[in-house]
Amino acid sequence: MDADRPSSNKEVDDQLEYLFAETQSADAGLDPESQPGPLRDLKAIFLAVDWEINDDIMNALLRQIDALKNTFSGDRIMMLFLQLLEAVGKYVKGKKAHAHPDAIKLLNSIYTSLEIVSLSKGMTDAERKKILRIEVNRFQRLKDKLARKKAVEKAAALPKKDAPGESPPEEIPPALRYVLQEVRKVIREEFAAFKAEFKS
Amino acid sequence: MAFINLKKKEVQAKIVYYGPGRGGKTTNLEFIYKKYKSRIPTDMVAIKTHGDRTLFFDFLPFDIGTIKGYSVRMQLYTVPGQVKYNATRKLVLRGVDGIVFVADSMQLRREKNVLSLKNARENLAAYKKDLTKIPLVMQYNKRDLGEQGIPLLSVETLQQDLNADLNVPFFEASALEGKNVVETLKKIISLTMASLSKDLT
Repeated sequence: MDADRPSSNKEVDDQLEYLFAETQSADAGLDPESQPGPLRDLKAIFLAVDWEINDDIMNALLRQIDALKNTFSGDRIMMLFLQLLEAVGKYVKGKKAHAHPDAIKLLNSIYTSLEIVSLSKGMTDAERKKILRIEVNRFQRLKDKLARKKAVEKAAALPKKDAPGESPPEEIPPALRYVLQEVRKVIREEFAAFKAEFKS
Repeated sequence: MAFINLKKKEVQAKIVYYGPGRGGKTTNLEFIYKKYKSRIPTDMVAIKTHGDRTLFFDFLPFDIGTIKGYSVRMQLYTVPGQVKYNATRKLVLRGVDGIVFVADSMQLRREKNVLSLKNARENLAAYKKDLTKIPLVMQYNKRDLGEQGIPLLSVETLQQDLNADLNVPFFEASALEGKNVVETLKKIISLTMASLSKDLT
């Protein structure tokens, strides 16, 4: 090491060892090394998804989910987790890099919860359901976001009734263009109402 | 620049996770956040672009505990790795006390690692700081990908490319699995505290 660079101090190192070890022991029960075979394969695929999303990886993910459905066919909660993973996985496969960023987060989050539910010994059904419900709610929120996004895009794609000179420049994003159109419409209506009132 | 309150016996230092885009800087912080949630007084602040990449920076205040009689808090930051965000990277480096350089072990990222380290040197130079003097730890991330047949750079190559002249401590890591994330953090805290120790007497 460079002579000018500070080197570690044993006293500080010992103190850090103690400070970090104290918390580490609290969650030692979730060691990823302790995963059984099927989940281990799924985790490997998730690592690949983190790096790149392509047809091969997403097909492998969906195949692995299918295989796990056989493994956990008698466990309704695990089956629901797998169905959630499958739904989001199919969406991501279809959209790839254009998928909503929350979808990738959700995919990871569902997997993490599935891992907790599957690996935590002694967890009651109520606790497992509670974790599942959190993921279902997240899934629902993503669905709502996607529906809203689609509605905005659809509205923005509608043919414009404005005169050619009035149309906004091309570089304005569709969502903003839609808002501008709405604002113009309101101003026009207000102005028409004002004119009608003034005449009467 | 670290904030040291001799009267209240408090130390606050700034550690920046630097490295090429998609190298795993944010994943390091996310792992730390999940593992040590109880010591983290606020939520992790992460500002993302649409594609889930770091646009501005991630920020994580982390209470370490008492070292040498001082209550120590580390402010952990990441920088956006993509080339186009250099202004932000430079800004985040202002007042930095220690750096973790998160290198991507994938073969196809070799040049990006080297360019990013060069960029760190240049940006530090703007603050009259020298990469060879500042507390620094190398983390060779994504080692787990080798098991999936993805071609990785050997540790020797990474050492030759990035650490030959710096000769700083290094760790082989998988931020996603949490392997050596805490060890990296402990090492950079230790080196940073050692560099601040002259001000703590």
